[in-house]
Parts: sequence; structure tokens; C-alpha cells
Amino acid sequence: MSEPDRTPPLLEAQHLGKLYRVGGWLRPKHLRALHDASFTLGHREIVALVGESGSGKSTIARLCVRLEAPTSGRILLDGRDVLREERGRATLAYRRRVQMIFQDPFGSLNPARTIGQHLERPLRLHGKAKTRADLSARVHALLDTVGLVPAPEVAAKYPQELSGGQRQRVAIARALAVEPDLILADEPVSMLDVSIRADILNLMLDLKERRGISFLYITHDLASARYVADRMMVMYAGHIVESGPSDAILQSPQHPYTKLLLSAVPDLEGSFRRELPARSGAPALVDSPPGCPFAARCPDVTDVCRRETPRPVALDEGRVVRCHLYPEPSRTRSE
Amino acid sequence: MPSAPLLSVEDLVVEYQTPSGPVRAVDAVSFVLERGEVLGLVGESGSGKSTVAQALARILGPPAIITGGRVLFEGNDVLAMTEDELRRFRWRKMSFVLQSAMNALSPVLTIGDQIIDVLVTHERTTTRAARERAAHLLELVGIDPARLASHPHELSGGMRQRVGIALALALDPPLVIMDEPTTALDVVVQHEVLSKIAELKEKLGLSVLFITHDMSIVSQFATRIGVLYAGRLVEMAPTRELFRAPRHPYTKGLLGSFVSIHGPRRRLAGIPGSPPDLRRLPAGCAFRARCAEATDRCATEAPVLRVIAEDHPTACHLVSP
Repeated sequence: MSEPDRTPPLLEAQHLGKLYRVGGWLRPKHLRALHDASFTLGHREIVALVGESGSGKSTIARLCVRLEAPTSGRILLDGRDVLREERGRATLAYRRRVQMIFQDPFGSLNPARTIGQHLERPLRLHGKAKTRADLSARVHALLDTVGLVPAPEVAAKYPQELSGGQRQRVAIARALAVEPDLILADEPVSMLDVSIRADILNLMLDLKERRGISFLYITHDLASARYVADRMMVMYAGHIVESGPSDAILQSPQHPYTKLLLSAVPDLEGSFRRELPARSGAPALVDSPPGCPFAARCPDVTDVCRRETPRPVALDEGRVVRCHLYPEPSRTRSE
Repeated sequence: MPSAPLLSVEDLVVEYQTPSGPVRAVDAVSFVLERGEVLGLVGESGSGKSTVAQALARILGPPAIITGGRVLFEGNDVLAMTEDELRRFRWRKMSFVLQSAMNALSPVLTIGDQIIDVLVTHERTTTRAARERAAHLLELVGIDPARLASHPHELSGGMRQRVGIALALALDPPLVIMDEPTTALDVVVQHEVLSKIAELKEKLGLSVLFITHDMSIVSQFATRIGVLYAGRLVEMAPTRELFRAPRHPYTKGLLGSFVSIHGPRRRLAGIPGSPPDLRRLPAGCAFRARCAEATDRCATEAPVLRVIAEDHPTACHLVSP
């Protein structure tokens, strides 16, 4: 490893896997939503998790916020194995550190409660305010932070009186109430109008810079991932197929799937005349065959791809790729 | 006889009847679509873009009512057609691909039966000829004709959406109206569907009215683009011209809201505020509250669409020829 840094990363996932049982009781099948996912999230860092529908990116978020337990693997927060120390659901202490916001700013707010009430709840629950006056001062400060002003006026409103972008700001303010270190943001802008997406993306950047908050930004949109994220991870069929600094990945994608994804992105300058390097197609997640999940579509497929699942291979610049085109240099093949 | 444009929309007005009075979703929208042209209509939520599509298809039902304007197809008034005339007109002259086209297929019939059904209902044709035509249509949209025997659930979302396009092309209409046909699709599939549409336009000389919220999608194959805001057309220009020299502050803001995966990373500006509530539209220009350049005049007088450069009408007090 290039970094001899001793402080552990904010959050580390080690070999996370998630299987769901599907199908009948007599002949159960397994849907492999996530396979051997390892990554770190640093302090004051935005990491994008990019992939198409069904790639497992939301599964990672649900495991990290501990809405569900992984089938295998460990989650370390500040180097401590949280799944061993606190079995079952996430404790208040964990939720104080790790928060989540969702795609749908319409569904995640209660229409019968004012914006102020939405924000008071986590403040009370986590003992962030002692007095009534303290509470409302905190609510107003939160609304100021996310740019919902004048705060007292907004606090008295109901969710249905706000626009989609404003509601997503409320969701972010609610996540900020407990002063978390990490926010998992699952497609936070995909339901918003194009002209107001920039606001939310810029808010994430500001919160990182000014408050040192880290984000795991989950998206299907490579362009916005590049805009906010220091690093990105590309997912396909439950596998993190490539990860590294955002600009490096977009300038020279290594994995054939990343190359495909990049060439398909609509661009104001581009043209549809160009041929894609591979066709579309859904990977088999249920009782999936051995080998690389992208093998069936890969233009560079070889025999080994159909037999063995590739392991992560470290390249330079902190890049990691999971593909047999990149041999594992220091490893003797004995297994 | 001088040939009329393929589609001509003149001062179209659509209102939704609500308990608190009519809400104008489409306000005096006019445009012309020539043969062989792909016209992109771009707008955000509440811009009226889908209402325009539904009005053209005449599939709007209460509470939405077309309260004004004309829609002429090859000079014939579509809004004046009787149900009978409409039945003969739809599919054959003008067909539709909607965002949900992939969910509009019947789950119990095979793909082949559904395409053949359309062909046999609308044309005097034998089942055998219809089957051949159906196979040809699937090939046209890049699907193996063996899939005629498949049921919709056996196809992916992208394939079903392409079946929707095949259906729209079944009777060889000169014009297809597409409303967000790729919005529900992953990018790789979206790319395939869009390149197929671009190819069909070349191959069949098809005209397309393509409605979307995503400028980057139409930029690649629309010949002209119209920008809708709060039910009004605020700017329209040939695609390259619109990207090179946008005039309306809203168009400029919209173009500045797109992040690119290439080029230098710049701070995204976006547009402050959010689209207006159509129930409470302010006097004057509907974009005024979000516009950095607004003047007193913008608060009192609604700008009308004026041609400020060749083939480039804009509705803004701030721009002059």
C-alpha cells in the first residue's frame, strides 16, 4: 500500500456480500446482489458509486447504513468492527455518525408534519437541544445551512407546500441534524428537474468543504458523479468492477464495462452514430454462473473469464480493476 | 396546390379545470414541423411538454380541455376530427411512443399477436402478410424476429420500449410523437434506442416530435429544438444555433445546468428557485423570479415570441434582433 497512514478510514467495507433467497421453499435459489465488495470512505471525501439498475449500488448503501445485515464481510467505522460490536440494528450511536438520504423527496417526508417538526425529531432523539428555544434555534440553523430561507417561515410549512428541490434540501437538513460524519445519498437528484440539480450537488460539495462531511453518492449518472466525487466506484451485477480517482477513470477507463458505460453517456457534443463496444443485456443474478459477470457481453472475453471470477487488481494512482485482462502480478496461482 | 407543412400547431391552449378555476398548462404554443425533421421539445416539470403531446394525440381527457388553437396535419384540422376520422388518422398518419410504452403491452398476448392485431385492425391484410410485416418491424428496431413468439415479460425494458417503437411504425406513419421514450432506461439501452430512432429517421425519412426533459438527448439528433417554460414556448432554434447562441435566460441557465463527462470541471450554476406553480402564475414573464436580468417591464408585461434571428424566435424583453 502506498499510504503508511495509521489513522483508520472513516468507514471501511471488507469483502461485503449479500445473498437474497428467492423462489420456492423447496427449491430455493440465491440472488447475489453483492459480491466481495471492499472499499474505504475517507474523512472529508465524496465517493460516487456508479452503476445501472440492479447493479447492487443501493444494496451497498442499505448495508452501510445497516438497514440490512450483510451475508458476509465486515463493516469498520473508525477501524471498529460495528457488526460484531453491536449485533442487530444500528444503534443511536451509529446513526449519529452515518445518515442516509433517499431518491424520493416526496415519499420520505410526512405530509401531516411541518418542516420544523421533521427536523425537531432527530434533534430531540439524539439530545441535541435542551430547551424549546434551543430547539427552534437549531432548526433554523439547519434550514439556513441548506439554503431554505427565511428559516422561520419554511419551518412552519408542510412538505406539500415545497418544491421537489426544496424537499430534498429538507431531507439533507434532517440528515445533518445529528451532525453525522457520513451521509449515504441514494440518487438524491435523479427525480429533480435539471435546473435545480446543480443546487443539491453544490450543497454536497459545500458540506464536504466547510463541515468535513463525507458522502457516498449513489448514482447512475457518470457526469454528476465526476462533478462531485473525488473517487468513484463502478458497479456491475453486484461487483465493484473498477474504482479510483474520478478524473482518472473517466479519462482512461480500464474495465470493458466502464468503457461501455462511458461511450453510452449522452453528451451535448456527441453523436449517436458511434457504435458501442458492447450490447445491452441483463446479467444473471439468480444462481449466476461462475466467472466474470460481464463475460457474456464483454468484447474482450477469454476462456478464463467464463471459469473464474476475477479478483481486484491494484493499478497505479490508487486505481483498482476487477478484470482478467489485468493479471495479478505478485500472486502465485495456487488456489 | 402548395404543400402544407406536415404538422402545424397554432396558438394551442390547454386548460385543466380545477375547483379553484382553470389552470393553463399550455399557453398559445405554436410551431411547425416539416417533413423529415426531428423537432425536440424540451422542458422541465410543469412546462406543459407532455400536455402538448397528449393534445396532439387527442388523448387528453377531463379535467384537461383544449380551449384554443389549431393543430393541422398536412393542412387537415386534427382537433376538428370526429372519433371515426381519428381512428383512421392515428397510427396511420401520426403515432405515439410514450414513456410508459413498455408497460402498455398486453401481458397475455405475444409480441407478434399484438403487432399483427394493429396491422389487421387498420389495414386490409392477411394474417400471413401481417406476420411477415411484424417480423420486418422487429428487425427494424433491432430485435430478433424469433421474439414474435415471446410474451412481454420475457423481454427487457429496453426491448419492450423498442417493441413500442415498432408498433408506432407499424402502419408506416410519416410522423411519430415520442414523449420521453427513453427516460426509464439505463444509459446503454437508452443509447441503443436513440441510435435506432436516428437510424430510422435516415432510413425511412421519418419525422419525429421528440419530447424530453434532457437536452443532451435531443442535442444529438434533433434538427431544431423548442424550449418550453410554464406552458409557453420561450425559444426555438436550429439545434446547433441554440447551443451556440442561446438567447433566452432560461435556455442559457438550462444549458449551464448540464455537467459533462469531458472538458474542464467548472462550478455548475443551475438556475435559482424552481419552476412556478401554474395555479399562481405571476403577472409578466413567468421566468422573472428566477431571472438575474429581469427588469421592471418583465414584472408587468408578458413577453411574446418574436423572431430575433433567422429561424430563431425568442420570448424575452431583454433580447433584441
